[in-house]
Amino acid sequence: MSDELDRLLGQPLPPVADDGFSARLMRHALWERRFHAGLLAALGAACLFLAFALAPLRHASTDIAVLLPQIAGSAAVNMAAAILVLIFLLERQFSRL
Amino acid sequence: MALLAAEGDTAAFGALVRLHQSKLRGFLLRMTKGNGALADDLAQETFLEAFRKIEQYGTGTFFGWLCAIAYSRYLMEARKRKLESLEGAPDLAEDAPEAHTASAARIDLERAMARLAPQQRAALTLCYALGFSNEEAAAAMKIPLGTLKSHVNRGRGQLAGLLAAWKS
Repeated sequence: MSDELDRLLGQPLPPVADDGFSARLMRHALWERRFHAGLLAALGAACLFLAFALAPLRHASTDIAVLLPQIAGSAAVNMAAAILVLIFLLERQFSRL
Repeated sequence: MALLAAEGDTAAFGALVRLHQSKLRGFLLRMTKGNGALADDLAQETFLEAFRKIEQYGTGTFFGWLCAIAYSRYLMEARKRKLESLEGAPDLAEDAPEAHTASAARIDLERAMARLAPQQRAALTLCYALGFSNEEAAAAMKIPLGTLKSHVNRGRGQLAGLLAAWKS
């Protein structure tokens, strides 16, 4: 009985046919990932909109408009921006390798 | 392949699903006493959780990690539905593959399995049918090794008793 029981227990489980299970599951998983990414983006946009709507930025905007030409003309700021762009491009290039 | 999937390779994860779906659904089919629809729901939830938490997959086999998720999902569902409070062993559900293809001995085994406590059913299935070592099975069930061995021995004893009684 013991040997017979061991033999029975040791039999592999009967195979279950896929019947589209894997394809349905992957569609669902990818949809869920896209949905979460979209939800995060929408929440971020809503927060940004609220921040602009509620924060006292109107007064700041005139100051920014005055300062913008000076900022754009600054060599240090331009160099920093160029370095950032370079890092971004290099990172994209290396991530493809 | 699991490492590729952990790095975000969706195609690799899809290949892992195709590779393991049969064994995982078979395991859950036995855990749910042949309820095919529930077993498939649990298998889907298991794979989706694995997809969401793939970066947490560390050591051990990928299938062992899947079984750990599946078993904990099963326990949650059993508590919710009070599956284990049902008295006696149900007949195999009509959508279970065993109902149509299995031998009489196999059907007897599944019926006897359905009478065991879920921990014993899981321990025996992992250790015998799925070929896990005792350590792997204990890790999948998140129980100490001694407890696992005790579930295996008690389950085996009960199964032998049930099958012998039905034979005579």
